[in-house]
Amino acid sequence: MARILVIEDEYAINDLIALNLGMVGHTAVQAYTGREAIKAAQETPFDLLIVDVMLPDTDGFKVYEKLKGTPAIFVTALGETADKVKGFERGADDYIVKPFEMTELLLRVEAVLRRTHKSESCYRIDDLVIDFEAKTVTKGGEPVDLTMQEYALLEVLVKNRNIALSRQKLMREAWDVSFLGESRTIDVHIQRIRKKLGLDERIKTVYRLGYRFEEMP
Amino acid sequence: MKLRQKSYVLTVALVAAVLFVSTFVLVLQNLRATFSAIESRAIGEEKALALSVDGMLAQTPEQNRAAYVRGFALYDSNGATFALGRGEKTWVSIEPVPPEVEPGRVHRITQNGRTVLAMADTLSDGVWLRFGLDVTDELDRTVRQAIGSVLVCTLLTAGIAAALYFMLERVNQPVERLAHELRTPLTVIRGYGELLERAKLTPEQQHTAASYIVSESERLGEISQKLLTLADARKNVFQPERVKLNDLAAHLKQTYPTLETEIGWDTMTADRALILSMLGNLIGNAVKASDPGAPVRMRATPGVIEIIDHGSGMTPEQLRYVNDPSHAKNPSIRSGLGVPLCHEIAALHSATLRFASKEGEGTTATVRFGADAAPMAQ
Repeated sequence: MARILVIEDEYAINDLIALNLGMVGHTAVQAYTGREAIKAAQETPFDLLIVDVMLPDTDGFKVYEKLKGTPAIFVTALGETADKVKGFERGADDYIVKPFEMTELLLRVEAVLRRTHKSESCYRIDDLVIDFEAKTVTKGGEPVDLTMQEYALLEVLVKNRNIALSRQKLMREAWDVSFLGESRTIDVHIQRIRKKLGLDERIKTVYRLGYRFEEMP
Repeated sequence: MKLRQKSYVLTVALVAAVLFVSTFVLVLQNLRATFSAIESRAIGEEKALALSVDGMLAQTPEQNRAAYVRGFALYDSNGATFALGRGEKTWVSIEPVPPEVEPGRVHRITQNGRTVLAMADTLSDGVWLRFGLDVTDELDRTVRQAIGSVLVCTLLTAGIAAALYFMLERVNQPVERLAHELRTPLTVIRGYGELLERAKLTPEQQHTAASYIVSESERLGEISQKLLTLADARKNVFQPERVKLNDLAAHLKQTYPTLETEIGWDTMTADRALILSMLGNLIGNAVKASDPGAPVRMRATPGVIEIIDHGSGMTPEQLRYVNDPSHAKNPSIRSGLGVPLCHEIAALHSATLRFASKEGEGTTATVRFGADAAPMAQ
């Protein structure tokens, strides 16, 4: 569970990012100016910054420089800052261009956290324990035998919990394949995971969309 | 450099190149024409001399010819020199005599910094004529003129190119800001839409998401409205009429209940819709900067309308921007289209819009109308 500082002056976007991060289990702290962000970060350090390049009092890069050492994902607007970010690529951990898809942002957040070893190492729910480092699952203390595909699918669902993912997205993110059609293979694997782990109530089918891992059924 | 700026520079460079090259070609052609005119004049003078010499020789007995021809030593024409003789014998030579030249063509000879056009001719009875015309001054003048033309053309081209660049910048700038303004509502609407579609939200969260979608859609509507007004202003759909200031004030009060008015100007000449849009924008900004419920003042005196608030005021940087939005350097000042639009409407009315502001004390926007609007002032 990472502590993430969201620095964005547009309330609607700040709330949106915070809400999404909260959905998947992160703690989001919201700041609306560079000054607020620096103050908040000096009080308690963060695992990650999500920072808008254009802030009312300063620019996102300056905030990042001030808080050197904290990984950051920059939020930019197309055309205006992409060049600037490119120059910054070595320093910045990632950037995302407005308007963006929330699931895309979450995936980037997860990738940066994994790279900086700040991502959660294990996840517990009910009598289930998923160890993301060892890539093993135990149920009631007993190890459960999952295939590689099943485990990868479960991990993506849990990391993006409470948010529905399409079959295509699941295939791409879990198995690194992106071909059209045949996404029904996902259904078969989901059925097996549900059966092996007793997750009928947790992994929900979302009509016309895909699947969602629900923390609170 | 941004792609947009690259395309501006390219356009400007292209226009400048075309202008420059065409002027250059014109100047070059003109230069060539002047040269050939000078050459024709030289040939004309030589032929005239040859003809008169020939005519005289025909009427003069053989033995008297040499003496007679010496009379031509008095020949005096702008820089013309000649030598006349038969066989080995030179009858007359006015210095500097051009050296041996082939008959039938014009030679350009340069010596001691002077340029001479030289020709040779054979007259009747083996009499020869060598003719030279000093054209140094004329050539110098022509070349000086050409250099002058090229210089003027270079300056003009640079001026036109600069003007074109700034015009392109100005024309596209509000559109760019608009494109930027669109991104936030788009991100918000899409993001909350996704959230509603994919996440299991509590009723409060659903409500938040839905209300953000509604409010950002309204913002999209406002942007499109502003764009339409801007497009109208651009198309010069400018219809000045007699407008009663009191009517404007009454209209604005309906939208902005905290507006207090002080009208000392009866009738102005203006485009009613545009003036309303401008004043509405200015008052809207003033209301936004003020505490809820705090009054905003509109004061009209002949030729001048002021919008005064005692709100949060602006930083010097923001003030610089609102006074001259076309030179905004810092993209983080997001004032949107409102202020540039107000400037545009003011300009259409030959009016100027100036803001004075102090942080924490408030802002005064002053629209000063030109003579077009003022005659009707009372």
